Amino acid sequence: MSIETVLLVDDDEDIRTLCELGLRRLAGWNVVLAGSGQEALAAVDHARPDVILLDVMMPGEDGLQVLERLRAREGLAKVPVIFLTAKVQTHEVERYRKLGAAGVIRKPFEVLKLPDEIRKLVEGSSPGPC
Amino acid sequence: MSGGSANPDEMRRLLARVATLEQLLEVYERSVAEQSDRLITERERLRFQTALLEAQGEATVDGILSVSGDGVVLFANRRLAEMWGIPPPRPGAKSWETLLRAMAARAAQPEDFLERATTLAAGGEGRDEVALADGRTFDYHTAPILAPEGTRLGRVWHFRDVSRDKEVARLKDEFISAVSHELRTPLTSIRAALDLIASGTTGALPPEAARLAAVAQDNCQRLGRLVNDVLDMEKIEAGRLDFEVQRGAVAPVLAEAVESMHAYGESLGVTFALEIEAPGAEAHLDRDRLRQVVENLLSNALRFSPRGGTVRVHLTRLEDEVRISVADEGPGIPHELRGRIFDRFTQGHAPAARRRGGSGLGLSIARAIVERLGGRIHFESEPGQGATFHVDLPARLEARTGA
Repeated sequence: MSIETVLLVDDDEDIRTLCELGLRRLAGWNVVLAGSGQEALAAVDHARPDVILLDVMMPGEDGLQVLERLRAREGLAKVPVIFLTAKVQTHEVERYRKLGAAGVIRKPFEVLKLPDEIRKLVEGSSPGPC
Repeated sequence: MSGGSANPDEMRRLLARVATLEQLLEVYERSVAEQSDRLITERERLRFQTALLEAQGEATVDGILSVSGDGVVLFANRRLAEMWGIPPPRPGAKSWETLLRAMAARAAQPEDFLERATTLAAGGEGRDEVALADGRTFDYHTAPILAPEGTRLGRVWHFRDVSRDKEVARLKDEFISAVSHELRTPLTSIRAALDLIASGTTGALPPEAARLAAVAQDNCQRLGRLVNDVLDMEKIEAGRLDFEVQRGAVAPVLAEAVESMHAYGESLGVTFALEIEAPGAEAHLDRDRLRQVVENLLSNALRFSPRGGTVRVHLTRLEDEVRISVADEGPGIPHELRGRIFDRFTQGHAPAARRRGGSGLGLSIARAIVERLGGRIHFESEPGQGATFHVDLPARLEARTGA
């Protein structure tokens, strides 16, 4: 599956700026930004992302709650969601996967490696022929 | 004249007897006097002992209670009643049960405290912590009072108010975690911005600007490592470093560590040689933590290696252990540092100024992690002939718990 559009949800404005620039320049993707779960839900229908990057620790609704609400939207059940988190425990990664995340990218991440990491997780999670 | 007068022989005998009796009497008198002196001394000694014990029992911030085997209070200091907010127990009264209930009534979980204290009272030495309903926390310790021949005479209880220590520890943790978070967040952004600029993603840089960006990048990474090391050290000291120990292969962890340090090695002109003698070797490990240990050892080895040098990473199997070795071709560990090389902030002299940048915590962290994994870290080094660090991990769980 090829990626054209990424929805990035993070409450840190700097992270949004850096990721947008990095992903656009390095991978040529179109990056839609949201500063909260609310903004993500408002933008998602229009943006039609191929992959969603979701910060776990956000004020208000956290990443897990946002994931649940995104999954409930029509047409979004299968869009790969990747969590961004500073919590690195393996059991937490497992928990996120069980909740339906395609994977986890640890913060602080290396922006230059970000496109490859996203590709790897999206390919690894692409649904089989079932 | 005769008759009434005794004959001289008999007279002498009698006199001799009297002399003997007088001597005996003297001996008895002396003995009685000595016994009496001894009794007086003994009584003095007992009074002194009692006073000493009582003074020792009172001159403390801990609450102390001694109870005989059948529940009679032998001693209770003033602090005990004060800290628990109970009436002072009367020595000689058979009031252990009542006391225990009065204390339990102050606990946040009275039933739990009763159960724990009763269990402890039946055993040998023991300790526990009790949270009080008013928010304070007491640490308590108990031990049997044993007669010289081993008979149990009763039990001593010590209670210490650790509320303040707990509060200080909590504040410190909070502070460290807040500061580190506050440092980490901007660092992440600075690093990403520098990476994008230095990599030319935002456009080619003039050579001088590229050099400056590289300097900034380098120092940013160094600061990041320092923050992470300080945080890990804090966690280790507070016993809060999380582990997920599982049985797993060691070789892939070494390969990952080498891979992650590859670029750093390249920048210093040092190469790695990965020598896996035991590819299938398994140990009880936490992958991420073990990788951190190996990365710390590699980072040290790199910083002390000459340009063009090689850092060898070796994996072999010992009898009940798996051995990871990291060897460098650096100047070796000076004799004066040997005893404290694993202490915090002990640093050798790197051969070149550009190779500074260790936090001085890498080996302390490595040792703490290896010990948590039930292993051992040690080194061999001769001045001028490099240093080799060994990490020995138990290959079987029994080897670890048996240690």
